[in-house]
Formats: sequence, structure tokens, C-alpha cells
Amino acid sequence: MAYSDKVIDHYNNPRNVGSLDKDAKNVGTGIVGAPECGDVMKLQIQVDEHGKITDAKFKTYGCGSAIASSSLATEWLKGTSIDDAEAIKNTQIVEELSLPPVKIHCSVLAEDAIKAAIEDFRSKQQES
Amino acid sequence: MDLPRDELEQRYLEASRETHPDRAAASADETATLRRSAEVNDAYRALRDPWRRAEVIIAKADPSALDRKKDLCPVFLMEAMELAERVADAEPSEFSKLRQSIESRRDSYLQRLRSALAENRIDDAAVLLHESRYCRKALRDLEEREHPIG
Repeated sequence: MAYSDKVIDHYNNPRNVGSLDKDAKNVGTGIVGAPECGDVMKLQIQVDEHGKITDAKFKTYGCGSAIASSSLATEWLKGTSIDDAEAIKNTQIVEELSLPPVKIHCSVLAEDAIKAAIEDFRSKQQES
Repeated sequence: MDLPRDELEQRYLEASRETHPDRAAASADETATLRRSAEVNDAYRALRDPWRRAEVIIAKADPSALDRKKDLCPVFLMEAMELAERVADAEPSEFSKLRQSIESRRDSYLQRLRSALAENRIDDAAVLLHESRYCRKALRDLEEREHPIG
């Protein structure tokens, strides 16, 4: 199976790899896995007081498509509002990276990670 | 789950004798015979591997269990990520110790998987099988670091 140029680019030069402080109140962390392939993906967002995502980081152990999907997701997340982030669909990732059908689950994983990070952030806000 | 290896082997030989195309071709329809023979070979390959055997047993007991239990808890996933990180960052001098620790973790999964199946706890078995994949993948990744290809 051939990877698209965009997947290879994200794989070779992943954007925003790393971690944010998961205990910080303005940071939301989503961690999801695809047990069929033993993939695990962590995606974190840092949100300012206006609900804007000021930073996003990821760490993914998985195939090229999973890495590219999460790398692309962090690129899209940075600078966007948390509400717009919630609207990101895996199909947009599939389209942007030209993922073949067998790799669609990688984009689903990225969407799930975004949702989990937002949920974590929101639950932290409610605690206060 | 605990069918001994030689018994599995024997049953496979019996089944393959019965279904062998040379023997059965004279009878009935040839494609059906070939298909049956290929099925026997596939089944044997699956059952020889304890993980695949467990997967077959789980799927047979409850076809939706593996899919239903796919969402692993965040605490486990965090550990899985730490394990993957350790494998990726280990110095060559740490390889053998790391291998031992992952192997014993893997063996413990297999043991717990056997008990879960023996006690017919299918949901537990499905979770254990899913979790064990991270362990088995870490071992493969470590192997690749120990013996890089090319």
C-alpha cells in the first residue's frame, strides 16, 4: 500500500509532537487506542479564557497514517475555538491525507482523541 | 483453550486426511473439497497460536464481545504509551532486562486469559486479549531494535 505524499510528510516531520502538563487546569488530554493494531494516541489541547485553543500536542505510537492523522489534527486545532474543534470530522482528515479505506480507522482514532481531549478539558472546568 | 499441542496435531492430521484433495477428489465436487481442505489448514494455523486460539474461542462464545470491549480505560492506555516509550528510548544495554519484564507481563496475560476462558468470563477475556496486544507489539518493536532490518 502506498502512502500519500502528505502522510509521508507528516510522518517524517510530525508537527507538535510532545506533551503539555496534563494536570494543568487549562489543558485537556485525550488518550485513545486501537487494540486491533496496538496503536495508542495521546492528544492534548491548551485552551485560553476565551475558549480558543492556543496550543496542541500529540504523541502517537502506531502506523504512519495514525501519526499523520494526529499530527494534522494538532495543526488544525491550534488557533481554533473549542467549538470548531469539536466539529472536526474524521472524513476531513481522510480527505486531506488521501487515506485508503484500510486506514480510515486511523482518522477515527484522531477524531476520538480530539473529542476525548475536549471532554477532559470541559470536565476540569466544571470541577471549579 | 487447553487442548494439548499433540492432540491438536493429531486431530489436524485426521481432518486433513479426510479432506485431502487427492483422497476426496474422486467423490463429490472438487472445488468444495479444496475449500474444505484449505479451511482445515487455516483453522489449524489459527489454533496453534494461543492468542489466535483465544480470539477464535471468544468470537465463538460471543461474536460481539471483542468489538464491544474495544474501548480500553485511559489508565491502561497511558501505561501502554509509557511502555512503548520505554521500548523506543531504551539503551542497548537495557534491552535484555526490558525484554524479560515485557515477556513476563505477556505470560501473565496469557495465564489470565486462560483462566477467564476456563471460567467462561468472555468479556474479561476480550479485554485481556485487547490489552495483551500492546504487550506483544512492544516485544516486536523491541525485537526490531535488537535486530534492525538492513
